[in-house]
Amino acid sequence: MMNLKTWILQMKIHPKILTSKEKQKAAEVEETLKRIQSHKGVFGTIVVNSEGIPIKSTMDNTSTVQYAGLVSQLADKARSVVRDLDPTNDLTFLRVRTKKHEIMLAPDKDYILIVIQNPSD
Amino acid sequence: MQCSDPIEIKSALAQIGTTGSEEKVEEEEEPEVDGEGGAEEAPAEKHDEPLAEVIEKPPEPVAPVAVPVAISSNPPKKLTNQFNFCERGSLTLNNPSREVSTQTNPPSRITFSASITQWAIYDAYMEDHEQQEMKEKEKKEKEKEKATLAPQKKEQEAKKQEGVQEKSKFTSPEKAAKILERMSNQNTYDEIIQDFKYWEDPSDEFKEEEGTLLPLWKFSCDKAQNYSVTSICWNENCPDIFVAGYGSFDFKRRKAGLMCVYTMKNPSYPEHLVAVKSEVLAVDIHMTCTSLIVLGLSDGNIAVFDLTKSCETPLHTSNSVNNKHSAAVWQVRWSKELSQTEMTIYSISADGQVLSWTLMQNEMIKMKLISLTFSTGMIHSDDSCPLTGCGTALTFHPTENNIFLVGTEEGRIYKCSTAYTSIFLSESEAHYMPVQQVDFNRFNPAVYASCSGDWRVKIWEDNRKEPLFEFDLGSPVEDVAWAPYSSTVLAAATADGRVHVFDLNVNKYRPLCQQVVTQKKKCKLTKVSFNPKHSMLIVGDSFGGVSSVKMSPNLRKKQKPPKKGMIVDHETLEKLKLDKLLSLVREPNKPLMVLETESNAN
Repeated sequence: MMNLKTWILQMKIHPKILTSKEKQKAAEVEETLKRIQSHKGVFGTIVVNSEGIPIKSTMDNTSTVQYAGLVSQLADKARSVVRDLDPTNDLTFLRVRTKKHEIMLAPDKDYILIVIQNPSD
Repeated sequence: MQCSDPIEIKSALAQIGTTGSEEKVEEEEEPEVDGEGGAEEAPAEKHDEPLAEVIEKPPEPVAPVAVPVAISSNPPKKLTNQFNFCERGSLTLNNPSREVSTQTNPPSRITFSASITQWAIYDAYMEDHEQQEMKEKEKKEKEKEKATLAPQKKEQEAKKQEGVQEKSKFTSPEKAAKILERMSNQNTYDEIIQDFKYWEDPSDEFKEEEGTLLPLWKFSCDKAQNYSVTSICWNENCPDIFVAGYGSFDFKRRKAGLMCVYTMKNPSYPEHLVAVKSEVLAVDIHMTCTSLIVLGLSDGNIAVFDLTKSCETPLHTSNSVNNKHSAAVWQVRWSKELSQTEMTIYSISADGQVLSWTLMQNEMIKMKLISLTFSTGMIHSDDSCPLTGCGTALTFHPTENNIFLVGTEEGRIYKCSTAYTSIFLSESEAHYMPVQQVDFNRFNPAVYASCSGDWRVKIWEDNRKEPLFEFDLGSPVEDVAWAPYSSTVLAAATADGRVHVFDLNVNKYRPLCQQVVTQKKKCKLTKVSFNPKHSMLIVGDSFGGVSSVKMSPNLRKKQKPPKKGMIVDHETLEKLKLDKLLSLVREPNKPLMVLETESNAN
């Protein structure tokens, strides 16, 4: 999967060149994701954009696509629940703990980040 | 259309009155009329016929008019009949209708569907509100610009415009990535977090004068492995954030320095990592504006960083020729703000000078020399130039902003004031070795503690030449700190890797806890600090790690309010406790106790 930076440059919606601040931020995000990936018990990380298309992933293609589609729907629903109850509120993160592992997702303005970890490793 | 004249009608009616002549007339009329009319008249009754009936045929307008006139002039007048009238209808020629239709392209349509929720409406309103605010701000700025045509402000505006443009619709998921990192850390360190929050050692009930330290997280960074932790400082506003400065006490090799900002929520990697040119020996965070951090470096410079702006370049830094200390800066402190625009930093260094640095107008750093050169005065030489001491420790009085304590390498402690540049308020020969740290008691500022490389921790009171308490810890003491929650608890870190925690109220002679905190044997502890809110300590060591430990309940005893029901607040209680203790200890005009603690290494 491609680098986050290259993806940003290839996006048609934003044809302008990245400013240095944005490059720095993208680099920091890359580093953070690397660190998360090397964390104990983490299976994979996926970055999904607001339409549900996976941008970056450390897992194989089929699981990535599956996770991306299903999880983004869940995130949207969860977010809409929180905001319907109180529009000033917003979803920070969502953990789904299952028997085998834990799916953690953090929604952002344009993205959703997903990490699958085995907590009791 | 009727071409019938009134004459015509009269003649017709006259004809009706006389039947005889009627028929003749009819017969006369008929062929003419028939000739003119057509099949349509055949079924018409006799009564109908006398009515002058004009068939309107456009090609023959003249003939029907001419005939009835001829008739009316000849026959006799007939009586008019009012009652007998008849109606006759006829069909007019209809224009043949044709249908002509055209088809155009239908207007283009797009199907649009959306579902609206309450929060989408709210978001739209908020966005609009923000835009309006932006516009108002711009208007105000334009007005200001008109008032003062300063070129600087144009630059600022240009920068702000750039900033606005930079808020492009594209954002990278930094916040989400940070949150996820913390979440994943939460999973890994789950047990430690639970311990930190909830573990209270139950065996403390049975141990009266003993307490323990439970090790929690260890904060370390790959880059910092070769350094020792030279200073740590907690953030007052967010009690889970602290800053650690990395350098080395070995002055043979000069290295670059490092400063890391850690948060307890993410023990695996620092929040911010700042690299500086020379080793960091002192760190301080501003009391209210906690993104401002000042560093004291080993080459004598001072750097101020603003974490909200940039981690790479310092906001201000002292120049390397005149505006700096000539030796390593051992301690830096922010002073309590006198005015909102001016912020002052005090620094002490090994060249024996205490300098004050003033930041003004957010742009300039201006150095105001309040240099306090220390003349020892004890050793008189023939040259009559005063010897200056080397300062190693600096703390400010908690309530009076002008007074501060200075510890020197010669083992002396001086009490000074910012108002007097050459005279000390008091002076005491405290230790035999360099004074490593001086700290004021939070509840009774007349009491302060000092520690030094001569293995001793001494507790002093203002205006007393002799210390109130003196503890021998068996190893050079690197740091001492009073607890923020109790007036009688203090902690000391020694070079043999131990943390000693004393509670003077419980035991005046021995520490409640003497515990090795680091795993490696050769590891020396360099700094210790209490968390302002939670019941934990962080300890910096010489291998670049910061360990955090939780104190057991015996070490955290707070004074209970009296049972008589008087509501006294915590601070007063602590003060009373300390006063009581001191009154026991103070014996007027007698030398006070010199106490030795166990110095056997376990």
